[in-house]
Amino acid sequence: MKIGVVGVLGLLAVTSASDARDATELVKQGSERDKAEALVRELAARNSGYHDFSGAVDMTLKDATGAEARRRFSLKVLERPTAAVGDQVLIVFEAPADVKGTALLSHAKVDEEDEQWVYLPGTKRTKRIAASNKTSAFAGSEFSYEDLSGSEVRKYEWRFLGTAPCGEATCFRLEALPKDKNSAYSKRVLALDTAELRVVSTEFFDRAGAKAKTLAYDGYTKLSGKYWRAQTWTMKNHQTQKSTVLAFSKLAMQTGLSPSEFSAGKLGDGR
Amino acid sequence: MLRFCSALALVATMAPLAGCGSSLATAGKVAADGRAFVQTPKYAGQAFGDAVSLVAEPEFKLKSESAAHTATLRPFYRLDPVDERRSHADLHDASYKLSVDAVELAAGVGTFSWGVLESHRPTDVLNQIDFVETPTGTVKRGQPFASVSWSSDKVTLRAYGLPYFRDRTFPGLRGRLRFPAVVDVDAPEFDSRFGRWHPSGAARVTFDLGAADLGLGLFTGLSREPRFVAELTTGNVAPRYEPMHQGSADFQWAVGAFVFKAESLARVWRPGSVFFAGGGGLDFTPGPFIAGTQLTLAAEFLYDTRPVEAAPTFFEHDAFGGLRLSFEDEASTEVTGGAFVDVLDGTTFGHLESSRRFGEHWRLKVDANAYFASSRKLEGGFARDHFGRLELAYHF
Repeated sequence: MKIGVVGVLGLLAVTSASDARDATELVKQGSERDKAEALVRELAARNSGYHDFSGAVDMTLKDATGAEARRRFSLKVLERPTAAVGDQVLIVFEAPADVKGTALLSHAKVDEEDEQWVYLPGTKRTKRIAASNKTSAFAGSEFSYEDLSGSEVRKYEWRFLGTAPCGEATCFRLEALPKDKNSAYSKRVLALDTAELRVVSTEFFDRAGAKAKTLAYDGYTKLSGKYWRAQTWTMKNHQTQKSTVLAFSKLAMQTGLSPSEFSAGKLGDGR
Repeated sequence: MLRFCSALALVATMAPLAGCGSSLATAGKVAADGRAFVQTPKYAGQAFGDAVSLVAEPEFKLKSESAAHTATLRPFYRLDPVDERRSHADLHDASYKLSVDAVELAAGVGTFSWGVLESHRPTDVLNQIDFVETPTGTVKRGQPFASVSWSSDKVTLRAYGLPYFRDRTFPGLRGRLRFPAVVDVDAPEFDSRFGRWHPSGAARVTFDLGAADLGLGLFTGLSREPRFVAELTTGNVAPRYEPMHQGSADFQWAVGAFVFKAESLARVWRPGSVFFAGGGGLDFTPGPFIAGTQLTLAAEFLYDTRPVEAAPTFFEHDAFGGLRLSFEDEASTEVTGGAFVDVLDGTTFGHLESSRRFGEHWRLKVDANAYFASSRKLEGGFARDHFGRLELAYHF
């Protein structure tokens, strides 16, 4: 089992437009960069305040021939306690059976390297692991650790690309050029629906500029009355024809998870 | 998952649980484990040892709905057709745990892990090692305990009472990977009037310092490492376990692609006599080395200043180099390997292993093990015991 830790999975929660500014107002003036950053900040603002988020995830890996392999894990996210640090994420594998109980813990940081640990149930060891290699695959899937990390405003050069139809809706299109030289990508292109400011898709372009992968979000549901969450994430790799689907269930928010549940010292204690 | 509340109430004898919503989760593995040796054995009485043994390690976990109460049962059994001493049972876990906010109370039988090094963890002293499983101590015997712990987001404190001693396992006359004389596990000696009931205790505190983790440990009680005493009448060798007191520290620090690690201990092994042991090293995870794989390299050094009269150890001044190559595929294919080399006398243990999953439940593991040591050394007993192993396990 590949070890490492998923970063911020909390990006994709936004409040409904009814109690927030109309997002289209944000792109009426300023440079393309200002418009894009205003949208990303609005997205972050609508996402804040959820405190904690948890769920179960069924992950299906499909290869080019259609053969499938499955993983199942539980996910707990604790919202960043302060602006200087990022979200804390705990993943515990339930399947396949040979990795049952393996846990990954990540404390994201905004300006420094994330802190990551892995718990190995066979030997009951908690190991700190290097967080620098974000381009490797999460549990053999088409998601890299980088793909799962959030879109901090200041980690990218942003540009507003305009609006375009996306399915039945209309979307803002944003380009994000990573400042991190170790990124696997030259850019990402995000599509956010203009009505609710939900991320509908993200396209990833490799260093050579070719489209590498597309991540589509479906089945948005509203939690705690205001936070939108996608229940199905589909990542397609255009170069290998492989795909990975994350299906979320048992979604819950504001269940009162405490910081000590996300401490390295308690990792593996029966969770 | 089964609804199984009344059993939890029974197991934990927790009246408040009656009528609760709780769940039973089963997990574990059964495996066929075949070993093939390269050379004829060194000592009279030893069988060649090529055989398939069977292993079962199921786990049953009962949890109350709130997860405040947890009962775990994890027995272990190996059936070995060659060595009666390698056929053995153990309880790796049989414990009850009560978690109330930051405080946790637990009691029963359990396994614990201290220390940070990849190759060998000298500070890890709570459990006895199951020597017939792996001579280097990666498999442990369940330790009877009662513990109390408190944790915040950055600090975890734990105190353990360890009322009963578990003997180290050793191969029998027919077994491979043994010493010149068969260790008489039926006649252990204890330097304590309480014998196996000699009271032992331990405490540990860990700190999350941001990019680093620091752990401090104390242990007092019977040493899990035996000295060996010759029985003049039978020619056998008896293990002798003596009290000791130990303080230890361990540290791991992540910097970019590196994780630096160190651990050290000071042990009063006899009144007024102290020795030191420990080690340090690093893990290095370079960027993608071969596309679709992840490589981690480890380099460590182990030292131990114990005198020859103290319980012997394999790791006196040993360098370790290891690697883990994970293929990022559906089958979680993995190659791991490593070698210990004693920098003064060249004694070498080498291990190379590859494994992959088949379907959802099966995992196949192949490994090769080599031992090179002078017959004047303790490890010299293994010098003809190079072996290959194939394990097919069903995980559930």
